[in-house]
Amino acid sequence: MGFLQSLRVALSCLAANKLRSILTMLGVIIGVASVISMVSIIEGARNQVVKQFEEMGSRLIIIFFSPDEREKGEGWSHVEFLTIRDAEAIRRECPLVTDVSPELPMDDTEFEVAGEKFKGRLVGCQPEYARLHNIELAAGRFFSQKDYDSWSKVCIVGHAVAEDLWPDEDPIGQSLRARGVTFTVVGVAKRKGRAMGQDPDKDVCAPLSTLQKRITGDQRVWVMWAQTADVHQTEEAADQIWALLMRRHGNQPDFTVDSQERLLQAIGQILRIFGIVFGGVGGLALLVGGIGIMNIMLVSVTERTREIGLRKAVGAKRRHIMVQFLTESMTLSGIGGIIGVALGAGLAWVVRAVTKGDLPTHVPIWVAVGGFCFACAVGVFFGLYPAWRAARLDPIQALRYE
Amino acid sequence: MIQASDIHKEYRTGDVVVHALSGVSLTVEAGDFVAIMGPSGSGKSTLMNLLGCLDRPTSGSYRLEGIEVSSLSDDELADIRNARIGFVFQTFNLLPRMNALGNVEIPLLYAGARKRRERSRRALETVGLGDRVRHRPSEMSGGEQQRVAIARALVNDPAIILADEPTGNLDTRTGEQIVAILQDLNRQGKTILLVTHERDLALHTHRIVTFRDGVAISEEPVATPLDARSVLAGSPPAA
Repeated sequence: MGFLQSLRVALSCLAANKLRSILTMLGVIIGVASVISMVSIIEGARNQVVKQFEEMGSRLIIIFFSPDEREKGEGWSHVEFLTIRDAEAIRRECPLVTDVSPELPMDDTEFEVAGEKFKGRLVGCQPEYARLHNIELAAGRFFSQKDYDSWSKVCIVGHAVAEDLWPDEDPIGQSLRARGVTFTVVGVAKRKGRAMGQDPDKDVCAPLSTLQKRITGDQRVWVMWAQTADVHQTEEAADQIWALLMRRHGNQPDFTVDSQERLLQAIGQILRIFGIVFGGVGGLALLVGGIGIMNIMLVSVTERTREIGLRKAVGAKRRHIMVQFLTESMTLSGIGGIIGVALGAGLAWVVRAVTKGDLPTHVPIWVAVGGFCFACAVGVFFGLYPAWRAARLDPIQALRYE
Repeated sequence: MIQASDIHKEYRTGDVVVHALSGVSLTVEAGDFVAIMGPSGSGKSTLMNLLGCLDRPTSGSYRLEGIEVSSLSDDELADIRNARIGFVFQTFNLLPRMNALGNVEIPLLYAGARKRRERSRRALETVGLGDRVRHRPSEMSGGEQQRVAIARALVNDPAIILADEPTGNLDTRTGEQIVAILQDLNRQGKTILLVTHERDLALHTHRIVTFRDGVAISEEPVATPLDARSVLAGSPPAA
């Protein structure tokens, strides 16, 4: 009796108890679907992060102001902020660094034009900002070093800001009020799209000097981006920056220096942990599904005791019976696996559609195949005991079973 | 064909040992038609299980077509049942999910035989069910179901057919039709053992062996066996 015949018998048995078969499969379906959709979401997030990093260029180093808990406890007065002078020092003393952009982002800033309001981010920066962040202009110009040096009240508005505030007019030359300062628009940035949780299209860039002079009143910045000429120099440059800042901040590590590579690794690590946790939950569902299969197979063996006796009487050996019941449990879990893969891929598709590209979920072929194979393996594993019970039945007693 | 000598079979249930068979000897030549009679508990079912290679004797020798089967392994016994023995049961034991053809085909599946459909169809034609191959057991009468079971017993061309109370669940007339088929098969050369407790049925065979308390107490030849077809012709059809 070949595998195909066993499969045919298995399918006819499962078809004879449709509702029972479907309910039994449900555990496997849920398990496989959750594993597939979780993996696809995590894979999608990973791909998205990698893509965004690649778009930004992998020569970037990011320096954050980040006082540790102990320092916060001792009061802010003690803390040395990052300042313009730090940026100048990096420029001066780190030969590998080609560009430094100290930045003062002010989130949730209200931009006001003739009563119209728009909420976005006001970014204080230097002229290097445009080069470092690949800001391209749709109209006008970026502010110049001269603007910067003279604390000019000029700004460059993001694509979305311009669309919202001046839908029918040329934004260039218009006035925009933010945080008590009235800026004149000199440039409009091209559309960039969301990346890394930021939406540069809602940014308004103004000279850092202007913001420090007229709004914050100090020299502090929150973040600095640096760039090297060669991708292989970024790690070394990051180390140089770290050493320099430690010296300047009296050996207080109240900042972080990360290269893109390190950030990517850290994010990968986090995603891996998510993967293990969610994969584990799906695995648990699969385990419960497997127990369900075992249960129903034991019922099936009992129900078909006479059939087993008859088959043995006409020449079936133990292994024939074993193979038949294993095929049946594997068919049960295999079909569940296929449905689960399809459902998981469908869920992934829904997530992608709902998040409009922020989470480009992706079901790798190895996950689909692996999910199916694992489901089959669950069927075989949990079918072993029932099949063994069936195979060792005594034909005489089995034939007499009522 | 069958040479069973001094067969003992004991069952142990807890501390009690039951002697189902105590020294039974039986010889059946090829082409013979033997009835085995006796009340329940006489050991006739145990003997059929042993002769059918479903079980091994506790002691004694059983040679089937010259092969000593009392010491074979489970798998070897399964092969012998498959190739040399056809079973017909009182309760038919057809698989309800399959049609007649599928049921008849089962022994051929385990034999790994070719042309299974064709051979199964031919077996069904032999028992007069050539027009019922697609019917499921639930769509057939008891007599038809038993004929499917006989076709299943025949399909792998066994040496012996063991029929255990094959008419027990059928009315007299249908039972007579089943016996007619068995007689036909016997005339074609099949060796048949028929277990029954109805003497009327046993009189259709060549020889009657009677059992009581695990031993054969008598063996009588049937001088002029009844012919089932004549019996059917003589009695009016059931209303």
